[in-house]
Amino acid sequence: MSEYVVELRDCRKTFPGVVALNKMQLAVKPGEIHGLIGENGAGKSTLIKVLTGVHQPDKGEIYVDGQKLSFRNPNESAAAGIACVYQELNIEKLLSITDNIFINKWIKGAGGLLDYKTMHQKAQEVMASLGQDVDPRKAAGTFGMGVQQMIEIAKAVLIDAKMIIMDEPTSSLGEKEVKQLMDTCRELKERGIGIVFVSHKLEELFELCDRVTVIRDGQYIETRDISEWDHDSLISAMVGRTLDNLFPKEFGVKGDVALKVEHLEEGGVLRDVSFEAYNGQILGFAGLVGAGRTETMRAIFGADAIDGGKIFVHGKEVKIKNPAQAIRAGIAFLTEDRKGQGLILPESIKHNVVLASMKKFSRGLFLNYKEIEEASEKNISDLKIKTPSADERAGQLSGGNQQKVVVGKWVNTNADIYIFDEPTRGIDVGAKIEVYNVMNQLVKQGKCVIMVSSELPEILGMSDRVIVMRGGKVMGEIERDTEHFNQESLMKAAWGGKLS
Amino acid sequence: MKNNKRSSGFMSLAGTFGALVILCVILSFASDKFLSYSNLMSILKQTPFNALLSAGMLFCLITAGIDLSVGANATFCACIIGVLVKSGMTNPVILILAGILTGTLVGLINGLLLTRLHLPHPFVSTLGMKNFLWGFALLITGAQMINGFPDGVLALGTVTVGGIPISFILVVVLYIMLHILLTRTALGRSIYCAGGNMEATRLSGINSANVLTFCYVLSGFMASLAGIVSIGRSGICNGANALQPYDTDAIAASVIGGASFMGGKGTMAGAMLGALIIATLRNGFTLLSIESAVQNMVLGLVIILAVLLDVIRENMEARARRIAAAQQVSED
Amino acid sequence: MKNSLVKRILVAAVTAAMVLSMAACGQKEESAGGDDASTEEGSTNESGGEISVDVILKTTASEYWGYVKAGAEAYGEENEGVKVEVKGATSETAYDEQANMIESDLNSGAYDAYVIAPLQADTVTTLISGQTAPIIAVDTKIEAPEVLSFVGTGNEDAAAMGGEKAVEVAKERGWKEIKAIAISGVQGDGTVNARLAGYQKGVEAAGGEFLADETQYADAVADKAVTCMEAIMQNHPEGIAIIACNNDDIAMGAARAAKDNEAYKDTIFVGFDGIQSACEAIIKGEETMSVAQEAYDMGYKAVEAAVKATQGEKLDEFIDSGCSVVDETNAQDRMDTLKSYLG
Repeated sequence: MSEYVVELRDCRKTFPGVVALNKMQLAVKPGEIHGLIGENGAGKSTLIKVLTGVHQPDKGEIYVDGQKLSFRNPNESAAAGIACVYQELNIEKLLSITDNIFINKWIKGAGGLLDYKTMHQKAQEVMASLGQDVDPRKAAGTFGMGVQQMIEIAKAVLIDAKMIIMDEPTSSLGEKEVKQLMDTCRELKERGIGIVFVSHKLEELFELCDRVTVIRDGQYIETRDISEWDHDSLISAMVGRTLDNLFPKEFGVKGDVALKVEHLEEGGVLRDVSFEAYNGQILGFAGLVGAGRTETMRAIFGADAIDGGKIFVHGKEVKIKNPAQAIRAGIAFLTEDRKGQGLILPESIKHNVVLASMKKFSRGLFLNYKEIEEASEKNISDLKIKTPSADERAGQLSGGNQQKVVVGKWVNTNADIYIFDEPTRGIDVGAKIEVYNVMNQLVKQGKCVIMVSSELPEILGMSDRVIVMRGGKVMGEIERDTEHFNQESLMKAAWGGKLS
Repeated sequence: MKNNKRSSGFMSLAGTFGALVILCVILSFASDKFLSYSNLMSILKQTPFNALLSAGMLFCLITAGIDLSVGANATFCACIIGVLVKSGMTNPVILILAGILTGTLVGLINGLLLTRLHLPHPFVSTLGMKNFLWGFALLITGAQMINGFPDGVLALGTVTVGGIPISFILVVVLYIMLHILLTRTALGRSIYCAGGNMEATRLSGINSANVLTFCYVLSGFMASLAGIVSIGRSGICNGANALQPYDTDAIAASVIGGASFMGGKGTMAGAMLGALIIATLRNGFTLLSIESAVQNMVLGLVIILAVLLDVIRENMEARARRIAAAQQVSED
Repeated sequence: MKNSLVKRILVAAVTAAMVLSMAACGQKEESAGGDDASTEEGSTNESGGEISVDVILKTTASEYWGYVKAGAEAYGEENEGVKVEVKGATSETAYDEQANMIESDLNSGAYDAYVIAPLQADTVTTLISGQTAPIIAVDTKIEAPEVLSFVGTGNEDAAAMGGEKAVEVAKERGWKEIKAIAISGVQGDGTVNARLAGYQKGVEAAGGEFLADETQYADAVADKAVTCMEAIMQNHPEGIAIIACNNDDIAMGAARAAKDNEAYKDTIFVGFDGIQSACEAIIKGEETMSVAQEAYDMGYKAVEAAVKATQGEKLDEFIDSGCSVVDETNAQDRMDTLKSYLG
């Protein structure tokens, strides 16, 4: 019997013209939470797909409980006891929880008819064992992301998985849900299941994992016990160089009030939100998921209708009913969901980066393609977008590069007030640095930057001032370099505590 | 490298153009009459009706929508003109303007239903509009066929310049204008972008509701021109024709030319080639007196083949891009 | 929430407005017609001993069927105690729709007799099997024991008559070789096939040559007929004596396509139905002739037969409603008569 529940040895996988994995290895012990970390494009997805039988490696062996196996398709991998909870959940939102859990594994009763009574009961049991007391008859879409993720985990538990891979499971969860997920992971660990936990968030790895493997450029770098890693060593192993500072904060000169919001109201979502943002500063917005931060920004930008409140830009009141008016008022808004709300995926980079400023790039009736080419080339070199050309479709780029394209789109509008909503979510460290650099440049040019982020280190690292929201209300305001400018105080405020 | 997208777009058009050439070669062997000057001019006379409808359809398809009412709208416009003629109106300018106004108005209603009343996918609303116009056309004409149109109205479907029908010249001019609009103006880009991602387009400060409305208005306008062409060609109008599958022919032309139901794709040049392929196919088969059952089968196969080729082409392009990207990475 | 409610109300209002405007237009049309049967319905509905006749036509949405309808309704108006209800499918290819219509009316038991113009005669044979109420076929024959009589001309016979007449005229116009090509309607349709067969029979009987292999199908639409005609002119630059068309739309479209072709200036364009606009076109010399079935009489005689059957009279198996060929000599008269039918 092997020490490992699943072991991958010396794996190589190539796609036409590209080596995706080389000398890759991964060994997971039963009852272990094994962190897997690497920059975007490091080969995590390919590695996962090799383990789940989606891709067949050119070379290399997979051992499950010491037995050498090869998977021709995902079904064979699942049969061997390897399950995966993908970042993009495979949940049919309109179907019930039971239907989702038993999809393709129906329990049949007399006459081959589906035995829903048994299935509902089993579904309820397995969900309850994961700490979710829910009615399995209800449509999956009526529950939050946390529960939907548990449905995926329940599927894995139900096939008696020996190892569950979780691909960025916390990226779309709120703090409370993350905590619950971690508890579930520990519970699964108790049952002797091996867990591969893929995450960008170092804190989570330190909190949860027993061992962590770092991969880079399709190659295995190192596996150590968690106690033998620290932030710096993880990051340098991941990026192949040491980063002095994850947050290269630079300071601008605080100017006048650029944006002033008074008594913003939106039925049931925002309650009396007022704040000011200054030129030459980054104003951070902290809070839990659902605290109303994104809603505030959408309201300011005219993406959603508001019930009341006033918005002043440079001291003058502006009426903003739609995004077009907001852009005319000099506001730019980088949305949190780059694929759904930021990019036109089938369009080229150059068409994406001029989308919000097409008037500027028009001469009379016609678009000025010379200027568009120049601007997009400038974006590509300034933001270090990795692409063969400006004609590449946005959908073909990696997450980090896509985000840079969206950043480029808004930089091109030459706005005065930049709202960045979760600008670094799901992108690798290198791309994060580029985004931070853009923010630094903007404040140094004397512009106003507002950053919504759920990652407190990022908020603390980049903001000049922080506003904490909770339940659609502003809970408090904290200046940099004051007593409360720390994680504990921010958390406290986000959970509804008073800052004294 | 830099001309990547442009050349691939050219490639896809070249394929469609190749199909048209092959079709012509086959037909010229099958019938010695096919390549005659007068027959080629016949094809040019037979293309405009569908080409006009296809242009509007293409715009709607690019926005990931559809306009199923184009054929009914064309018939309806013809019937409006017919009813006016019957009631004694003879001024061709007024008649033509009335037709165009009617079609454009129908398009506007289609657009507003979608963007202001937020009906779900325009498949439903334009399907409703198609049936409404069919009934309305029969109602106003008393279910009678109408003839006796003044020459001025007939001109668009009859007059030729040096043998080339002016309806085709009109189509070419309109197609060039619309091509420029699609590729060289902010509105054109907005249309593609709205089809690619409606919400992202709206949040980029583009009034996507107006962009969509424009597409349906244009579709209505083009349908009205098609209606006028049809009067000129046949000399009559008949409300019952509203139920003819003109809309599917228009979809077929757009799709053969590279448009997709998913939106964000399609070109005027492609739609023109699609309309020409359909017209040539119909012309050739009629020339050979092949029964309409076989015609329908072949047209169906052509549509399926066109989409299939498009999918294969996409996959090959994606593959080529991956290889190119990999090379770029290894160069770095 | 509030917003969406307002929108919903708006949608409802627009829909209502649309329906109302349609209803309003409809009313005007009918009252202008002057022979509105439905208004009478209310007053006579309750009286005892009334004979109720259900007339199900192929469609009511065409001029030809408009005359059949007018004839049927006229009988109801002229005869006290006879109530006539006329309906039809939305188009001549809406086969299922008509089948459903027939089925529900037969089962309703609300009628004493039925007059049916079948879109697909075989379907109707099955539908009516076992029925005891009198059933009369109109326009198109139904082969079934339940059907007491067929009122009509037979499309084939009428077309044959047109074919013969066309050959005669072609001889008069000096054609040496009398060849005929048909531009037909929807392939596979019963009526279309009957007319095609009739033309062939007529042309050949009169000594002409019918090019059956070159028959074109134009789906009964004028603009497709133009395309077909253009192909015929390509294949026969020498000219063709007779173009036999499935209906008047096609004949007018074809004649128009050949207008500027010298070789076709003497060609005989035979239409079918003899509707008003065809008469006009014949007077102007655009269309040459049209085979006309007496649609009005057909409707009138069919209802008459149905009423007689309910009163126990024995009917002839075939009641000829008559047909004629409209040419420039009688087009004006016919047009006037037709106008008087529709008011």
